[in-house]
Formats: sequence, C-alpha cells, structure tokens
Amino acid sequence: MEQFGLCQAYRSAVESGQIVVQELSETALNARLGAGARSLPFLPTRGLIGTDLIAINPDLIMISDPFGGSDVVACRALIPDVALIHCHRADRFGNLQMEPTAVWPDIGVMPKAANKVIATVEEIVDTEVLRNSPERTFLPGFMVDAVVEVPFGAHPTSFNPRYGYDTAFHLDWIAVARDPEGAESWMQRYVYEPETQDEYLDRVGGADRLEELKRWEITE
Amino acid sequence: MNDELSTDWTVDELMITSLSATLDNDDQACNGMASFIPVIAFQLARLTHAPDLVWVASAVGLDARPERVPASTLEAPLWRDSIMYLEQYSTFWDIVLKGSWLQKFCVGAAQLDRYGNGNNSVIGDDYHRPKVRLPGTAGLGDMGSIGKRLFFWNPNHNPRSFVEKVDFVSCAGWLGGGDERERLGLTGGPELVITNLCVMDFHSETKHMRLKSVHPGVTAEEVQEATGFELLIEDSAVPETAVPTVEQVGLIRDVIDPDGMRLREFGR
Repeated sequence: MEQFGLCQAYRSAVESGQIVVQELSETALNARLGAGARSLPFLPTRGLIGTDLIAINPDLIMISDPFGGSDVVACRALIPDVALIHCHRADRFGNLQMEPTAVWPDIGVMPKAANKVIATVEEIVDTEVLRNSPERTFLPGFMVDAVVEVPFGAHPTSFNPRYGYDTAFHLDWIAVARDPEGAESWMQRYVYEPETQDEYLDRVGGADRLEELKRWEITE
Repeated sequence: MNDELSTDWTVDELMITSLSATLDNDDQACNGMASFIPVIAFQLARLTHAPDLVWVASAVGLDARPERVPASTLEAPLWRDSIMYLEQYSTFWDIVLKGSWLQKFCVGAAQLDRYGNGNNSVIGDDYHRPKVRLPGTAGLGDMGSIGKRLFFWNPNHNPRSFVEKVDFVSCAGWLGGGDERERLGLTGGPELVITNLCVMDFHSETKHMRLKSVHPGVTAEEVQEATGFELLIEDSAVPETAVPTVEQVGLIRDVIDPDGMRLREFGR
C-alpha cells in the first residue's frame, strides 16, 4: 500500500514511544522465525553485517564461524505467541489452502514458528474439495488451533487472485489518520461498531463495492 | 535500431535510460515497493539491448508481462503472465543468497552519505525515540552485506537526502571508506547513484562519492549545492549524461508506462 504514503498513525505511535517495534532485515526475520520453527536457539545470516541494526538489537549477535569462515549474525529464535493469518480456504479440521499468489513469510514460516495459529479464511469447504488440489495445502490441520470463516477478510488490502485493494477506503483513512479525533471516529465506524463481518462489509460499500474489488479494476 | 536522440526527453526518462544502461542481457533483476523507475528500466532493457534479462516482478513473479505499469509495484497487476511465483521465505531468498544470481539491485534510501551508506530506519539521534520513523530496512539491510552490486536511485536530489553522515546505517555501503568493507569480509557494494540532477559513482580507492556525469542543463556547482557533503569532482569539465533515444522515449511513453506512473516518484 506504499502508493498511499507512510502510515501516519503508525509513525506517530512509534515516534512517541507508544508502540515498540523490532526492525529486522528480511533474512534476519526469516532466520529468527526459521529457528523458532525448528526448535533451534538461533539461525545465522550474512545480512545486516556492517549496519547499525545489530548493536541496537539484543536478539542479534555477531559470532565467528566454528568452521573457520567469516563471521555471521546469530538471530535468536522467534516464537510468536499467536500467528494470525488469512488464507483462501480451509476444511473444518483446519487444513489450510492458498491459491496461486505471492507467499510472504507470514504464511511461509510464521505459522510454523508460533505457539498458536488462528486462521481466517475466505471460505470453509468440505475436505473433499481440498483433495482436488493437494498442492495448494500448505499447513496441516493439526498445526492450526482455530479457523474462522471471514469473507473479504483481507479488506482493505488485496487478496490475490480473489480481490484487489480498496483505494477509496485507503484514501479515506489517510485523510483522517493525522488527526486523533478523526481517526477515532473512523475506528468507531469501521472497527469497533460492526458486530459481524457482514455489517463491516455493508459499511464499506456492500455487495456492489465488493463486486468491483473482485474485478481488480484499480488505477490508483 | 533507431539511435536518433530524443529532443523532448524529460528527466524521469533520462533516469530510466541511465539505469537501463547498467543492465546486461545475462542479468536477473527484481524490484521492491515504490520502484517505478527500476521497473520501467528493466522492461526497457528487455525491449532493447537486453532481451534475455530475467525480471522477478515484486520479487515474486518470474518474467512477468504487465499490461502497463500499475499504481503499485508490489501488487498482483505487476505479476501478470508470470512463469512462476517465487515463495519468499524459501525460494526467493535461497536464490538471492546463493550468490550467483540476482547480483544487481536497484535500491532507494531516505538518506545516503558520501560513502554510500543508506538509512531507511530513523531520522534523529535516538533510535528508540526517533524524530521520524522511516519505513524500515526490509531487504535493503541485507543487500548491502551479501555481496550484491547496488544501484541507488533518487528522484529528488537535495541536502537532506545526501548527508555528511547518515543518522543510522540500515544499509552497509562503503562504511568509513577505503578498505573498511573488505576488512569486514564484505564483497559487492554501492556502484552508482542516479538522481534527477546527475549520475555519481565511487572513487576506487577512497570510496568517496564522485560526480560521474551531469544531466544536460545542470552544472556541477548546482549538484554540489544540492548535496550535503563535499562531492568528489575530478574533472573541470564533467561529462554530460547520455540522453535517451527517440526509440527509448517512445517505448517508455507508449508501451511500458502509458499512464505515467513514473511521475509519482517526482510527486506528480
């Protein structure tokens, strides 16, 4: 969503110390989660060497190669309490499928590292449906703690190939995000007040809007 | 092949053709977010001097063929007609880290210093209570340390972006200059910086950023004024950057980016 600019609410929350972030490069995050997934104390990376990001992070330590090569960065295992992920479909046992699309580490490794996995899915289908395309199943049900059917659960972001991102909704948020009162009433309307996903989807424009998003007609 | 030079090129097109010229036929390239200029440069290279260049769109879609450049360089419309989707955690990073492939990376940073160290993390003295929280290092923090050749681009050359010393090193450039990178065991490093005013490279010994060419209509003095540190200027007469050809300009405007998404990098 970078075309809409930096997220101002996130920025000011970090700048004021309201939330704390741990900044990792991609290989360092992958190493931390990979170690978590494999019950290792750490995994090494060659990324980040020479940057200031190692010294400020207690979970990253330069170590020598026991086999005599050059130094590497030990990335301490990261075991999330909960992995919250969104997938295309599941059966009632929690077997999870993704349709062909980009797969980032949130799907590729995070659920394997986490203590609990909660998956929202576009649809819950019969197990027989999953058998038609076993190559799309990426996580077995025994690793999944809960499945929730949430159609358009990735809204307002895209969920390829099913639907595109919601430009108007993003622009709306950006317009109010700089002002705490505007942000608060926006959060009331879209996050706190709707009691069901259907109610939320009605508020963002209902069936007509969702049909537009499915057509990926996006110019902004 | 039409080598006739364009007379109505604009600076966005000049930056694209300058970047495109750094790519070879046997290269593989990929792009990240908000990367209109690299994405267009890759496609232009494929349509002209480097037809076999492999492009991994958004680091996802192998040899994608987008209809036109879309509003985001990190969304599915860019991956149209891909041969393969590269899963990030395993496939993409395995390929990058193996080392033989994807050796050139086009990268952007909010701050860059005289030795090509990049900052995309924070502005201010205190990392934990920053004056400005920037987007974060993401792949940039890796690219500077894993032997890749880095090509920086910046459409807004100004003294706040080109600083004496970055507030925070989130991408390892030539560090303190000289052989400091080498002593840390790092290979690769920053090679070129392409801006709206000029092209810069790095002195082979000192690793000091050096003015390589100025865009037509720009003087070396103007570049120095827009730079927050003393640039290395070796020649009294700095060469001019090669301007795009009629063919290149036509491909950019009519075939690759008819909607002018590239202008968004210039705040238009």
